[in-house]
Amino acid sequence: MPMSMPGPEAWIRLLLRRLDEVVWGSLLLVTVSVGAVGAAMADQAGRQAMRLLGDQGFIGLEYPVLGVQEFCPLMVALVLALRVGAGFTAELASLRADDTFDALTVMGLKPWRTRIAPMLVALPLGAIVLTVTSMLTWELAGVLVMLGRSGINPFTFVHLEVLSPSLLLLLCAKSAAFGASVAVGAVFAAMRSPLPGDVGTTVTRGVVLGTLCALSINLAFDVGWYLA
Amino acid sequence: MSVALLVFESTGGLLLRLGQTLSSVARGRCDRRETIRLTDQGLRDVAVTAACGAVVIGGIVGLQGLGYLTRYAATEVFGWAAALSAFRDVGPQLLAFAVAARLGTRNTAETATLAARERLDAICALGADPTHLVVAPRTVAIVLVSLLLFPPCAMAMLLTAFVFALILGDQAIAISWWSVVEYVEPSLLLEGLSRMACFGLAIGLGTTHAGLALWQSERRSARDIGDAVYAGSVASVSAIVIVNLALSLLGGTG
Repeated sequence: MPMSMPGPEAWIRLLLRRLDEVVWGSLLLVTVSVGAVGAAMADQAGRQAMRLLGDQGFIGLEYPVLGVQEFCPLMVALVLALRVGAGFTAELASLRADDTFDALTVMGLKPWRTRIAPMLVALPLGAIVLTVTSMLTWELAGVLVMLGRSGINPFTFVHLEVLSPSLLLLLCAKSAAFGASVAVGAVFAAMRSPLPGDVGTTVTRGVVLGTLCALSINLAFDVGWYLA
Repeated sequence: MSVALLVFESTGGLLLRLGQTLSSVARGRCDRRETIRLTDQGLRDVAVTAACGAVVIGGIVGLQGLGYLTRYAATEVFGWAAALSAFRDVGPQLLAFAVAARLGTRNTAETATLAARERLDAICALGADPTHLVVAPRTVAIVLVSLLLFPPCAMAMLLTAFVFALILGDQAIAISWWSVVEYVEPSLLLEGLSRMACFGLAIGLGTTHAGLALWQSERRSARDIGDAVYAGSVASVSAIVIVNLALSLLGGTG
């Protein structure tokens, strides 16, 4: 006799738990990664500008655009693919390896609804939240590096007015697409693995799939944005 | 507090593995046959992923350059800027992520499986040292694969960037190439190679260390191996971005 399925409230609790895992669990790594990449980019841009033009004034205008358009969503996607994607693939592959997935299906608990669907929703939502948060880290890293290395006043470096609504829309669309690609890559690798017992190899497939999907989607967005 | 402890524990563990690997290589005890086998296997494994990654990263580099080309009419320096991104600033880092995704996760999975299936205990029981047979060869092999992959992948990134600029921005390939020849110093490629070697070392140490965490522990299930792969991925990402920042702050301007 089938066991009782979780209702909408229980499903929302499952979704919130996944969101907590995606957002809170990845926040430190995303902050460190985006901050480190932002600091490196700002430093190199500042030094190149001084070497070629003798002026660093325009970097404050270009730096936030580079973050929103390219590096914040991409770094969040790569971190999610390597962190959440790996963990989620391992979880699903382990469920398949010890036949828990089949057991849940036989008991009528629909593991697709209780285990997979919450993550499919949580990853795009979490990616958007993390990317918006990482924008602050990106800008702060740029401010600190330009102040420390070149003595540029933060008030002259920060130009948030260059972030148009269409750029912010691009940021959200990219992040959601990256989050979805990581989730789909993990599910595809775990559920289609010919060797479900070999969790390590399955996780490798999931991570590679998520990483390459994120890079390819990023390129597609960039081409579309440039042509538009 | 637990995060700080984890960071200190991981840093200490990685430094220990680094010392073991360097000592093994310096004393000529690192198993050469195993290193060559792992390098060959790694190159075969990662070739397709790296090639796909290089083409996509080249496209991203080209489109970034095209944006500035359009805004500042900087036709003359497009090739130089694309080379700077592909050879040093963006290319090595994104390529390292691809290597970490394919080779790093596989290395953790294999090392964790060796630990969980008591193969490392068997090596010790035979009187051999896992440092010379497992840790050093795996770390050295990932460094070698990273170094061997970088020149063709960097060139693929650069050419893809030029092709994108030609198709989407009417930027002639001859002008882009002239810009590279005129402005790019050969030391830029060497700087990129040294970055890739550092990233490879970070990936090798981080993922091998994560796999060895299962050794002499009670956690040996399939789920524990998956968790080790996950820990190795986190270690790789952290190490790549921190090493990249350090090298950027210390490096030249190209």
